[in-house]
This record gives sequence, structure tokens and C-alpha cells, in this order.
Amino acid sequence: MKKAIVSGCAAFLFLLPSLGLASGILIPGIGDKATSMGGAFRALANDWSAAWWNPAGLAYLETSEFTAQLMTIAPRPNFTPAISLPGGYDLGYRNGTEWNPADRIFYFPNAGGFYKIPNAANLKAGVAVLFPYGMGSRWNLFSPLAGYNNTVPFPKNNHEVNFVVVDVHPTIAKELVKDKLSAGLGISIQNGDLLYHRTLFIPSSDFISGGLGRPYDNFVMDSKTQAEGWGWGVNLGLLFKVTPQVNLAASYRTPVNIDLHGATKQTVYLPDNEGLRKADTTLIPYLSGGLAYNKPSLDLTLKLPSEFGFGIAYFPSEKFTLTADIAWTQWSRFDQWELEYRAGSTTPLGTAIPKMVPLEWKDITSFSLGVEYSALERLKLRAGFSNDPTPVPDQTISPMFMDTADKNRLNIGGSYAWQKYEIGYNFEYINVKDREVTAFGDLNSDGVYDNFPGKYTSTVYGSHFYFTYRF
Amino acid sequence: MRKLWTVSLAILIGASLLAGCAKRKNPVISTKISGMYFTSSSLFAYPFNSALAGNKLGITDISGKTKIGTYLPPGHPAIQGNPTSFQKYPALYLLADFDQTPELFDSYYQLQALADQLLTTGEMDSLVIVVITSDMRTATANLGGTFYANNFLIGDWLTYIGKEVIPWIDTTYIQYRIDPTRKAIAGLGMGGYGAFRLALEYDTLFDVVGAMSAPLAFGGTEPSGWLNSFLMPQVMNENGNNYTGIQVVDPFDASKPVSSWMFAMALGFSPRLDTTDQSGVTWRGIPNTHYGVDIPFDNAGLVPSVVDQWKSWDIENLLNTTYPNALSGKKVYLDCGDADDFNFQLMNRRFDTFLTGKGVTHVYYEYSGYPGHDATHTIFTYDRLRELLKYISANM
Repeated sequence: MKKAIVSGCAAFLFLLPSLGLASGILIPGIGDKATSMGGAFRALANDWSAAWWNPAGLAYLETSEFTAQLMTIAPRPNFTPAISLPGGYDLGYRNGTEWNPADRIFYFPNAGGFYKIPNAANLKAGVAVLFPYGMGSRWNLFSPLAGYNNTVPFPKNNHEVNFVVVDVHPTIAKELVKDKLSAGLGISIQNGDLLYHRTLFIPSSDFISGGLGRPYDNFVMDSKTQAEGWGWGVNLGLLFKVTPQVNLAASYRTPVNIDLHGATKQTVYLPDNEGLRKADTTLIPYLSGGLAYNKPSLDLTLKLPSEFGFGIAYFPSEKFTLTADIAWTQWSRFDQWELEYRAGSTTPLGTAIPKMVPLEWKDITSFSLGVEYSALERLKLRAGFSNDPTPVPDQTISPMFMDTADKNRLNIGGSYAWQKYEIGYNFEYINVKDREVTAFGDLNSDGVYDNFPGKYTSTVYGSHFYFTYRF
Repeated sequence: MRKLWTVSLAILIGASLLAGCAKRKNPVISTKISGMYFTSSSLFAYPFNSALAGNKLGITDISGKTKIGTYLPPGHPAIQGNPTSFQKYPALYLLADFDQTPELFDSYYQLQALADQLLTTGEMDSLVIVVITSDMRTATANLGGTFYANNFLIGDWLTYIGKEVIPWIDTTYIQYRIDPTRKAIAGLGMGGYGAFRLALEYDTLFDVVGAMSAPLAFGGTEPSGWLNSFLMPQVMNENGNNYTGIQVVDPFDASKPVSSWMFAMALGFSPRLDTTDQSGVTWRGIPNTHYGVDIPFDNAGLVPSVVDQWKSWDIENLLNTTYPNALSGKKVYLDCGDADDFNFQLMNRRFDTFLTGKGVTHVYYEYSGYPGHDATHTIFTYDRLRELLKYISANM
């Protein structure tokens, strides 16, 4: 057993360097069994991933167990920008052409071990390590306008988000009424790591009286925020075995605030224009090419959502299990990122630094259906479907955040068990609806546009593997 | 049975693992191609010396070296070192605005960068662009511009461009490789005015004529005309409503932009021919010279005799009188910002209506800015120049 645990941990650590390559906000795929049933798992909750879905289910684990899971996710989004200033004035985005980010396959290792405590009837305790939230994409969407004449090449990867949350999740569960009711409680200790990288525009009228004409109406700044920090929360659940054929479940996850600390590297790519410099010598500091940069420190609280979930499981025969869940997620907590810079922080050109990233996400309700079929004594097959609306409004949509439209998720998978071991696999196909956004927005009127109008299409593929050892 | 399950699962897992593994490529971003823009060069020797000679304001550079800039597209034999090529290029003669040199025209509006980009993206065909200005920086008195007019004070700019520069460039095609049958003329502001004036005077030279934010219809003495509704009150306002305090602005004064324009127009349209005559309230002397101009109004309002002089240079009036068919068969382009510093949108609306009434096929774009950036006289010229080049390329 020890050998298996050590091997599992080694595999987990080996995969850690791949972290941060997340996609989607709520990473679909925690627990193969749960995922292959479309996430309709709260009223079943019969493996380690119950720590996330409904910790009450852990109380009914028949043995102690350790599971290691590898999620691989391959998002394949496309974006056709239509980003122009009001009046149709070009900003430098590569409009009218369909682009994709650097295609990658993201790897997320999850693991959990739960122990049936001796001499404590139906009391289970353990810990899971999860990657519940993440997003990531890297795009080459922008280059300064023709004639801007920056002397230092603008970065090719200029729009990028990498956000990952790792959740260390100690959990305890107990059967309260024998064969009827159990309850579970978990604590989320979460570490968040954020990279937010985009192009910003500094109006020349902010630092030159009257401003300059096009293409110098806006100076181009590459802004890269990196921050890391901790937060914590709680989740709890109840599982009620109404009859031998029917389970009901309810779960709740508290909101989590992750306090991030970091800095924003701001680099202004200055244009070079000798003619204008000669015509007006006060322009020399701004029109001589090169870079102007600084790196102010910041704090940022990332507000992750609470979630209520309800589930039902129906066992019409020994071979079949049918499940259905509905979940409400409080994405409205993702209303904005307040970048709290130290006093006196400015852009490298001395202008006011943008301090807000409006998001204005909406609460969503998703539902899911799952089925499990015992094809053979040791072989189980599963399938699931879920409908997952997007919380992202038109006003803040961004290709970097990946979640661009309502999604339908189809899953199919299975597992094979022998002796103390079990292996499983799940394939996930996420169809993201096409979306077109035409309106260009600056929700808080700070001069920074908050969305990326254009056409969005996307498909996501996932392959998830797991290995379980029971003891 | 077990074997069947195993094989089926293996196939399923294999297929699903392949899904999403492919890496896609983005469209290729065109490699930028570059032409060449120069304002004086050993490539070409400008031989002009007659039409501007004898001007009274001492414009010394009559060779045209500092008054002509040239954009040659990539692949042009003169920059490619391929003198055996006999490819010919259409040409755009582009007249610069008030108080601008060809060098500044490129610096301000990025002519070369825009032309290079349009050629790179295929939105424009190869085009030789010749930028001409009536710059007065070498003159004794620099009033910022001459409005490409002909008179004894400034020299004969209309003749200089129409009979010297353009024919020379046309016929020196061994170097320039101009296709004399495919020519356009356009300009910005004062240059837009000059483009139309040249298109009227030399109506067989050009296929396309265009003007960006240009004064094309003064409106005579009409109450709603530009002279009466804008120029006169604005100049008075800039000068503290003190008529006698209105003096020639030399050089351009940013605190009195409309007055500066008025004096440049007066220099072109109403110079005082009798140098000894300083009579009348409308006379204003040009500093450091013996010469003067008449401004088109006095304390009582517009002065018809001076307005008539201006009218004889007014494009709308000339199309109504001397050159009624000069735009027939030509492609005509107009644009103007809706917050032009000099209210030229007023004239362009009038001219648009006039051309429509006259049956002249044309396009007119009146554009707006965006929050914090009003569509003033030149702030969006960069964008309009791009559209102008595309229009010209598509219509030649």
C-alpha cells in the first residue's frame, strides 16, 4: 500500500510543472466517475471526488482508498476580432480574420486519499488535492498601427491569461443515521496564481496638451499582471437515502476570497517620429522610440463563487444507476478585479493607472444527467450530459477567459476493477455555442475597453484517467 | 464477450485521445513590403524654374526640391535597380495642407506606412504618389500657404504644378514610370482646394479628384455661407472683436488659426495688385514687404468687391461659370470631419448638395470622432488618407 501511495505522490509531483495551463473557469473533470456522468454525482458521491461534489458521500465508502487522476484538456477556441474604436477607427487588432491561441493540451493531476477510521463507525477522513478553477490561453491578436513606428518589436504573445487554483481539501464524513443519512464537511485551502496580460492604450491627450492625431492618439502599453496568494473556504453536504432505489443530496460550497499579491509590469512602446519631434520639441520624450516601463506592486482579491447543488440518484435495477443534478453558482461574485496599487503608482508616462477590470459575470444554473451501467461484473460504463450556461456578459467577453458561450457537455467513460485496484477513463466533448458580440464597452468609463467584440467559436476535448487503490 | 468489450474500449480510448491533439496554425501574417519616400533625392533632378520665378515674397526654392516628395512603390525600377523594366505606374498627385511640407505630410499622416500597408494587404495597387506643397518657409513672409493660386506676389502655383511639375513627371516616365493615362489628384485642406482647382484648370489631366477636409464652396455673401456665418465672426472673435486689430498673421499662429487661414486665402485670392495703394479698411500689409492683401469683410459685414475676388477662385462658382463640365466623367471623392476646426463641413455639405444637383457622380463621407477625440481638421487624416488611397486605387 505504502508503495502505491508513494508512486501516486511521485506521479503527482512529476506533473506539477504543467500547472497553470488551465482552461475554462471551473475546470470540468474532477473525478472521472463524476465527470463521465456529466457531473450528476451529488446523490451518488461514491468515490474520492465526493470531497468536491458532496462530502457526505464519503461516509458510505466501503473501504479506505487512494485515487490519482490525470485530466487532460484540449480547448480549441477561435476568435475573429472586430475590435475598433467608435466610428470604426482601427486600434491595431487583427480584425476580420479567424485566429486561434497557441494550441496546447493542459494537464491537471488530482488526487485524494480517504481513510476508514477504525473503531469509529462510518467515519471517514482524508484529504484531496484538486484543481477546481483555471483558465489559460495565449493569443497574438495585436500589433501597433502602421506608421506607429515603435522601435522595439511589440510582443507576439500579447493577450494572455493563466489562472489556476489548487485546492488542498481535508474532508471528514460521517453516517448520521444508519443507511439513511450522512453528512460531510471539507475545508478548501486554496492557492491561486494569476497571470493577466493584455494591451492597454494610453490616450496621448492624457500627457500631451490637446493630444496627437492618429496613429498617435493612443500610446500602446503592454500590461502584464502576475500575482499569487491564498484563501480558504468550506464545503458541506448531506446525502439522504430515501429508499433503497432513491438517494437525494444537497451540497453547498462557501465563497472563497483569494488574496493575491504581485505586480504589474507596464511597458510602453514609444513611437519614433523625427518630423513631429522637430516640429515640436516638447514631444521629444514621447516620440523618440524605445521603451518606458515600471512595475508597481499590487494586491488583488479574487472572489470565487459559492455554489448550491441538489442531486437525485435512482437505482432501477442492480445494473443501472440514473442521476440528475442541478447547481446554482454565484458567479456574480466575479464582478470585477480591483487592482489595489500602492499609493503614487502611475503608468510609465505618469498617467493614471487603470485600477479596475470589470467582469460583471452573472449567476448561473446548470443541470446535468448521468447514467451508469454495470456491463460486466468488473466493468462499468458511464455516460453523461450537462448544460452549462456562460456567466460572461457581452460587455466583458474576452477570448482570454475561454468561457465564451453556453456549453453542452457530453461524456462517456468506464472503469474496470480487479482485486484492490480500479482504473478508469473518461472522454469529454464540450460543444461551446458560437457567439458574436458587436458592442464595444468601457463599463466603468476609465478609458480601458472591457470586452473584445468579435466572433467566438470553440470546442473542447478532454481525456481523463484514474487509478484507485483500495485498502 | 470480454474480448469484444476490451477491443471496443481500446478503440474508443485511442480515438478520443487523438481528438484535440492536432495543433492548428494561424493565418500567415503578410510580411510587410516597403516602398520609398523621399523629399529630395539625387534620383531625380527637378528642372522647374519659370512659373514661380519672380514671386515678390522671395520664395527662394523654386526648383521644387523641398516642395515635392515622392513615394515609389516596392519593386519600382528606380529603387529596385531594374532599369530595363518598362512597367508603368498610375500616379497620385497629392497636395499638402496649409503650413505643411511634404516631409511633414509624411510625418503627420504616415503616408509611406499607409501605402506600404495597403500594398501589403492588397487593398491598393502599386501607385506612385507625388506630394506637392505650396510651402512658404523660404519666403520673406511666411503666411503658411498660397492656396495654389496664381498671382504676382506668390508666383504662379497653378501653372507651376499643372504645366511644369506634372507634365515633367509624366514625360520623365523613364525614371518615374508614370502611366500618363492614369492620374489622380487629391489633397488635404488647402491641398484639397488646390486639387479641385487644378482639376478644373487642367481638366484632361486627371481621372480622379479628391479632397479631404477642404474649403470648396465659400458661399459668397449669402448669410448661411461660410464667409458670413463662420469666417467673419470667428476672425473677429480671435481678435477681440477689434476690426482694426486684425493684422496679417506671420507665420501661422495657433492662437489665431482661422485668422491664419484667412490671410493665406487672401494672399492667394485677393492680393492688392497696386503696391502703392494702401487705401480702404480691408487692406492689411504683409510684414517686412511692400505688399498687402484685402480681407473679405469690414466692420459692417462682408465687402462684396473682395468677396467677388474670392468668388473668382471659389470651386463651386467656377463649376457654375467658367468650367461647367470640368468634372464630367471624373471620379470625385470628398470627406470632412463633423467637428472641423474651420467648419469646412459646412462647405462640404454645400458642395455635396451642389454636385448632386449638377449631376456629378461623387462620394462624400462626413465622419465623426470617438469620445475624447472630435473629428477636427486633421486628427483623423491618417484614417481618411487610407480610405482615399483605396478609393483612388479602385477607380483608376
